[in-house]
Amino acid sequence: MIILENVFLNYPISDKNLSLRRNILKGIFGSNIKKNSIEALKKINLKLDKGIFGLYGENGTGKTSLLKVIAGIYQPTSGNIEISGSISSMININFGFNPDLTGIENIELRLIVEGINKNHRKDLIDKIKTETELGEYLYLPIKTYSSGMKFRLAFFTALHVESDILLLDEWIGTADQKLRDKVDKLILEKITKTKITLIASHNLDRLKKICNKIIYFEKGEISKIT
Amino acid sequence: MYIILVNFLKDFLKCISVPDIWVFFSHKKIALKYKDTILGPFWNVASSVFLISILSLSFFIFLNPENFTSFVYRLSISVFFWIFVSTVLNESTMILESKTDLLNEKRINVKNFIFENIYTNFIIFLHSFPIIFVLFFISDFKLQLNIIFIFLGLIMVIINLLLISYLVSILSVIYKDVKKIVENLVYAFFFATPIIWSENMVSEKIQKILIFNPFYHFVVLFRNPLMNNIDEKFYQSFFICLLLIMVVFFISLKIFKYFESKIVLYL
Repeated sequence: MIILENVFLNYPISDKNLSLRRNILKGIFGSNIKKNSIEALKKINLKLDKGIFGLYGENGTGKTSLLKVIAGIYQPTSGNIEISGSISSMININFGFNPDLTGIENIELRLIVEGINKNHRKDLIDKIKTETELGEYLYLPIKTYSSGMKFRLAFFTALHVESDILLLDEWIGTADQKLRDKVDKLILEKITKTKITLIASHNLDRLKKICNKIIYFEKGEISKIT
Repeated sequence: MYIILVNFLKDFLKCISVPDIWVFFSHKKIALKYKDTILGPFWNVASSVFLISILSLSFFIFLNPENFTSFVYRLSISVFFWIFVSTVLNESTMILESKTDLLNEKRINVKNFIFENIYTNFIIFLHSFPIIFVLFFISDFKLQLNIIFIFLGLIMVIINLLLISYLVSILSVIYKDVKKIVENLVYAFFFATPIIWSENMVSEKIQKILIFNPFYHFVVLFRNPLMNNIDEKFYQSFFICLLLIMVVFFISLKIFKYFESKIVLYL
């Protein structure tokens, strides 16, 4: 269950406010510098129970920010959030990978971060190794990978992390057609185990194909839900 | 305030009870840093040995100290230890920035990266112990029970470093000037701390001022047990470090309350 009540999120954007000199002077003499921040999310009210929810909107409308708030990466500036259940995510374009580590090491890193214990990790790594079909590339640093290969690695790792809530952002963009079809199928299988899935995208047709509900975003606000 | 205190302590205890994240990162960091080098982490030791040799030679030529082997031993302990402390502090200004991608992907207790930084540098520091061990036996110092105080000293220093690097790491993400300030302070303290010089080389007035230098107390806590020198200076440094922990802990709580949850927004 995900409940958001009057959630606002502001990003700090001004370099002026990050200067220690300015802050010290501000403390001593006061300041007329207007606080510079951008409103990424405005008055978000949502209650999501079970299902696949699509977040649709142009770039910069707040879809990713909402996913990060739900994932607990960003703390909202104001408002209440109530989340019950474990969360796994694929949000960042680099999936949190370390480019200098090999594919295998990055799988391990991701599983450690997800809190999976050592014994279980070994089995999962073997499974993920086979499913990614990356073969010998898994033993090379991922800075040598294409975007599609990184996606494969991230997707199949995320797929094996059991969670109640799955958050995916623009997740299909870098995959080729063959992989897209496979991913669609696997996502639908995974969803049977996951209670809530949130997918952010600006491809409305794709969202309509797999989501139960679509939440439309405009300038940081929810404009409609269908 | 009570909830903040409990959550802050819980975060630290979680890092200790489940060390998987920071241990993994530390081992990979060391492996990557010294990948394809012949000496591996011993490169750090080699650099320190080079510095110690140059300093020892200069002191030998210009000052001709009475007991040269003991002098070299004291200098070596101090330099190895200083490199550990200064690297921890300098690297703490970049540790969270280097994890931007990961912190933007998953909610992670940032204190894991503080532990990672200290653990990584401690492993590298341990590589200098064989040299300290050899120099100990060459010097005039005899092995005594006092040496066990080194564990007490190290624990005290590491707790201080954990809290200070937590503060530095958070503040350097928010205030971009902090990195440069820390770099310059660490550089200045190298000369303001009795590492290449000793306390009895300076006036009593300077010796009194030294009490306000936290790095001096860190050095005393590590160096004195290795020199069979558990006197009132050691206990004084111990209590000052304890006091410092309390002060830094209080400031860290404030930082935790106001900044930690927002830190990813600044990365």
